[in-house]
Amino acid sequence: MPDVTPSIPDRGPNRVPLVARLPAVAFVLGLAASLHGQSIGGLSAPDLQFFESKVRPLLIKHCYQCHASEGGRIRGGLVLDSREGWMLGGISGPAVVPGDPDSSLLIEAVRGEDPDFQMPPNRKLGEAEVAIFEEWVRRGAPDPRIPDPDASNATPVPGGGVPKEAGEDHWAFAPVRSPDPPRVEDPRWCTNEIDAFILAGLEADGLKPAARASKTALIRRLSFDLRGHQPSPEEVEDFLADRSDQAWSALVDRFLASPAFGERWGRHWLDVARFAESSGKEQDVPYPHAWRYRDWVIRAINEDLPYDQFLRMQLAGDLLGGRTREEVGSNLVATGYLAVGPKSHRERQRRQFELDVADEQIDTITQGMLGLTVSCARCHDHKYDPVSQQDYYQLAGIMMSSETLFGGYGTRSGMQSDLIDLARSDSIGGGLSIPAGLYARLLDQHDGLGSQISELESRRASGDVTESEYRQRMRTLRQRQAPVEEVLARFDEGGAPTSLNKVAMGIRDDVAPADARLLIRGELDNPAETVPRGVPPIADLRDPILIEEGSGRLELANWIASEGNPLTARVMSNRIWLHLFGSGIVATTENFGLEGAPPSHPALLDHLATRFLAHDWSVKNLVREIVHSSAYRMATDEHPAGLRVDPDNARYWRMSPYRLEGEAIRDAILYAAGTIELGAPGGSRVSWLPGRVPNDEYLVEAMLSSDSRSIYLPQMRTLSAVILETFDGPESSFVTGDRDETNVPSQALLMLNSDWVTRQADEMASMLLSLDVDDRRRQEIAFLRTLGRPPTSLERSAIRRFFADFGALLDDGEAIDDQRGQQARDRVRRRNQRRRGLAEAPETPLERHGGTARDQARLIAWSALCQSIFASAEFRYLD
Amino acid sequence: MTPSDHGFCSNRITTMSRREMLKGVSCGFGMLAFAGIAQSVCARHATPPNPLAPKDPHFAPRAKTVIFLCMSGGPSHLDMFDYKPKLVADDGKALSTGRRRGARLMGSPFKFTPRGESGIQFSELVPNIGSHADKITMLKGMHTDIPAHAQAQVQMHTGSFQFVRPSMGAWTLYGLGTENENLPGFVTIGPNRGNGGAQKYGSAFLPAVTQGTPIPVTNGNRPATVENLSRARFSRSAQRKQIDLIQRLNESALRRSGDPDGINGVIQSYELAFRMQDTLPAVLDVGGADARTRELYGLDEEPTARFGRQCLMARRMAESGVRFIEVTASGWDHHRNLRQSMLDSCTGIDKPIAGLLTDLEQRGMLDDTLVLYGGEFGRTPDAQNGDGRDHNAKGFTMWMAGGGVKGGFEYGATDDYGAEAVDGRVHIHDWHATILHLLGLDHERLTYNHAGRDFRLTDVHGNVVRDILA
Repeated sequence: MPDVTPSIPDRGPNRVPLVARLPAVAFVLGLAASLHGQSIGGLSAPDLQFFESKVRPLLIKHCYQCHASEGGRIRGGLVLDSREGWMLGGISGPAVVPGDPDSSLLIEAVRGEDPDFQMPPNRKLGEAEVAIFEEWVRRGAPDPRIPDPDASNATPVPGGGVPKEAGEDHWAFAPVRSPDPPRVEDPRWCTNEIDAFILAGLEADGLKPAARASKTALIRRLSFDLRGHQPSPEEVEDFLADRSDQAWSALVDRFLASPAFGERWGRHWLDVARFAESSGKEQDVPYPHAWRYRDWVIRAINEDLPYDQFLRMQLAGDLLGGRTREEVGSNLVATGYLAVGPKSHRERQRRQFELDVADEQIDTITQGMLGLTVSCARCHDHKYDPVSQQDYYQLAGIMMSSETLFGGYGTRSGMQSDLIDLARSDSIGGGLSIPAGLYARLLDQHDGLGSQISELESRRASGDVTESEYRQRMRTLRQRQAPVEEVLARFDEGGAPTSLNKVAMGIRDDVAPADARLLIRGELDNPAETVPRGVPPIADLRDPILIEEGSGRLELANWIASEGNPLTARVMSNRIWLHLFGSGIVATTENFGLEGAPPSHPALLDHLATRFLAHDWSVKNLVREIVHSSAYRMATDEHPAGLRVDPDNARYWRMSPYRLEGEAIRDAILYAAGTIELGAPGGSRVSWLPGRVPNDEYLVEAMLSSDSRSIYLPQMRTLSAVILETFDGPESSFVTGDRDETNVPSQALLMLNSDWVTRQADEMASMLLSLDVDDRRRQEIAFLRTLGRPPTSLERSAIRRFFADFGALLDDGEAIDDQRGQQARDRVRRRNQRRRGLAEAPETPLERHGGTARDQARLIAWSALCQSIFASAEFRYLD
Repeated sequence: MTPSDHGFCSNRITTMSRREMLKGVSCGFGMLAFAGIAQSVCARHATPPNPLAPKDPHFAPRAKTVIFLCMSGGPSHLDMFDYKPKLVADDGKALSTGRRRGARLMGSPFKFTPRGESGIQFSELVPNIGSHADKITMLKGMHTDIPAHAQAQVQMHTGSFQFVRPSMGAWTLYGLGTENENLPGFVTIGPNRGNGGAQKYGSAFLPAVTQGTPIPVTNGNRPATVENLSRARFSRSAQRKQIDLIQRLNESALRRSGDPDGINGVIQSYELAFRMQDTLPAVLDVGGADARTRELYGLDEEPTARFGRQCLMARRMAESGVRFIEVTASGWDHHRNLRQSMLDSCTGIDKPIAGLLTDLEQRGMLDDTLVLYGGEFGRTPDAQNGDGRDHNAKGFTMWMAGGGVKGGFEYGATDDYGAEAVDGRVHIHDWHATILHLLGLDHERLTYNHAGRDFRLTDVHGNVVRDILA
């Protein structure tokens, strides 16, 4: 007799309750064979009578309430109102092994020997009743309840997921409540209600909050947290001088109003929106218009667009209309959210491609906005959360009833689509002008390919090439020419963008929206029943919101962006907290499901969500409230009790120091060097990219020569700026809520050896040397611009010693190993820029500086000092 | 042997808190590295503890180095190592029960042959690995908890799919230290950023120095290198002066900072980076390999060039004393088009892996180098999308070679269709316990106290698979 007991990983004696067991992949073929051998219709009269008089009443009385397909609530995926139901079994596998009571889960359950596995759960059956079930199974489980084979021709779908009831008690699916701040012993510490929640937790553990951080530390912390770069020396000076009670709130308001706020917090959202400017996957097709979505995000955050609106526009901006053409255009651009995801343009089957795109969208939406991993239910019911495959295909129906507009030029053989036409929105810019040299080069390429094409035509006319050879070569030539043609069409001869460049990625409703069919195991050629499209009953939603008209994206958006949704406000409040405290109240920022981490401070999370909602979903307001708390203003100082009780600082007894992201490190260097180009460039260099396979060197050059803030750098899925990658940039094919923080030698090497860092250090040194101050003051300025504080006396003596040692090496000609090498690299770089038609880099600071060998040596020594500060731990760690 | 007999677990790390070690003592281990300039500070401590100095294991080790060939995406055991004639015989039959009801069984389209004296079956996709049959222990009853890539990858690397925990490379380094202070002790060659990302080589709560150093590898002819590995402007001596200055600034930060771990990690990274500039280029530069080596690893053939380079680098690192080396091959997630994709994927790794085993053996290194092969899970016997296979965490194959395991040995088995491990079941926790055992470490004694409790790579699980020990 085959063993059909679901296998349980050998993890000791703990029995897992029936519904929580991992589903057994039931390769119980022995059983299947024995069932096939049974005469289906031919029950003997005694067997039939036994079933009808004894077994069926018991099943109805004790089991149907939770295990009947008519009942609506099917627990454990098991139905017992049909023969097929117990044969198929629930998530623990088949319920009955005919003829073998001891191997039958049903018998095990009704015997109730294992309290965790007992059925019915609350009351043990009497011995007589158990005996009836045992007898029934021993007889081979005769069961006349065989469905009419003509009743349905759709393939029934195996169930077996987590029942909806499993989510009923889950904290994250319960409504957000507005908790009263707890009583604390020492309320003097509390600036606002947030502090009460923190302090109550600390007091419970016998901990005290750390002292307030110094003003120098505070302005640096706030500046990086809100703007993504350090405060200027003047800002530090003003803040230190301002002894008024309003000093902090004035500073907070100024930073919140800075355009840099949107660049900082926009980047946080772009991580969650898995933003990139190319398709990733096999080909990495460039998306030349993705930047419009990026800029929309930055603007929306700077304007403090209410977060519900922010989400609604990204999901359904095309369905929201607008009062002006500009507003309509802007709402359309917002839907770029749905279009900028990774895609496999080489996929040959349109339907498969659409399914994959919809899946990627569902994954991004549910993880990013709801903290749920609904995409797990594409091929089977979700294994840990009450999300069924039906739920998934309800959502898929919505996404598949929309047409994603991603462009994909240059992929003549692959998947392409329209784009959104913005030509009518006058105030929307056309993007960056293409450099004249690059334009000319593209034109040359295009013409060159053109003459090869005409040559091929004439050779064909004269019969020099065979027809198949002709076709093959022509296809290759056209494939090379098409992307070049496409770029040229978007710019006029002066290099200015044409109306063809006024397009955006996004989405629109299909002309004929339709429900999707559930796909067994997610397989395209294995469709089961059609599932009505709609917002599925996930989280707190009991009944699906079915869609009568249109795709349903607006209904989905409205459900997500509603005050009543228990997840939306919590998930975002948690993200905001994470970016200010370094760790989320819920550590698994993308998973608020049953397997996610529980909140460390549930009441605080609900308090934040309540405040978020009370202030009309204002991100800026919630940030303001949090940074006004005493908790945010704690020092990072350690104390022994805290380290002993809570070394991870999960209770927030101090501020956690954290390492800055690559963007902040790069931007801080540019700020310190004075080379930063402020503001949005108004486009992306990716939009000049000819060819479907981006030329690495071209992009690397574009990144190295850009002085824009990091958020504006080209970000391809297979290539982003080295400095951003080295400092744990996000994998832009996935939703990233919380970045990694590593500490590896490649980061040290970058700071020591990269030409880019060296050049910025030269720029900063050159600027310092141009100031009319003495060297002591120069050092002070160098520290103030980078670390926001003057050097200590120990540091001054270290610098003195460094200048002496290093100067001696310089004087002896032993410091520079590779200056010629570097100059040669600079020359090569310029030549390449010329060749690629890019604007040439200006003179390097060393070239500009000129002067005697001694002057040059002085510049190099000061550059080495600046570089050392960039390289120091303090520069990249925020206290 | 009592716990205090071996060097590391006695009183240095477990009884002294890491923070005391790092900060309380004014010259924590980070300081050691620039002893030259820090002598004045460290005068009170003649020999500051170096956390990466070689340490004695718990008992005599069978291996001192690990090379983990990590197949990301879940390679199909059924088409490489786990021969299932019944699956072939029942090809096309539909499953009539269970969640996958209706799915059709798919026998491996690839031919299997017994290899070596042991007669272990290898498919035609891995003929070269098959020629090493008698050096290999097959673990055919592997199973893990979660059939999803990211979780399973993270669990394979850290033991936990839920929490952030140190990777096994970090645990190894913590337990044994490393023998070459000029190279990182834990290197991961060509890791993919997805599927768990940096967690796969992270140190979590262990000291940051135990973290893996990623060596990115690209396709094509660009030599693999760590970016910015060569000095841009300064001579070696001038850069040393500059690093001395940086370390003085870091030392100053260490006195004030609330994050001694982070600062110490930075300090350590500069010293290692400085030394790596001299040592790493030679290890990474496979261009100079001789003709025999190029042929052995398939460096000059397009399909094998990338992974061949990675394997050759791994051998050189092992030779140089790097403790734990991971080598990643991605792209094993064959939900469709399995016939062609498996052929491509296997071609990419078969010759390089065989070359690595040959090379290690010829250099006499295989005895104390433990080579691990495996992916995060296996695949289903039933077909998906016609010609593909779905994820399967319930049964799959990994293998080990060298470093104290039996050769030509098969352990465990899946059922007739290869769906589920039924015999000699080895969970990832058991796998971890066995690897540590081969390194001379008792997985129950390799602990680290964090947040008030002792953590282990194997948590509260893990059994050493003693049957496979040579």
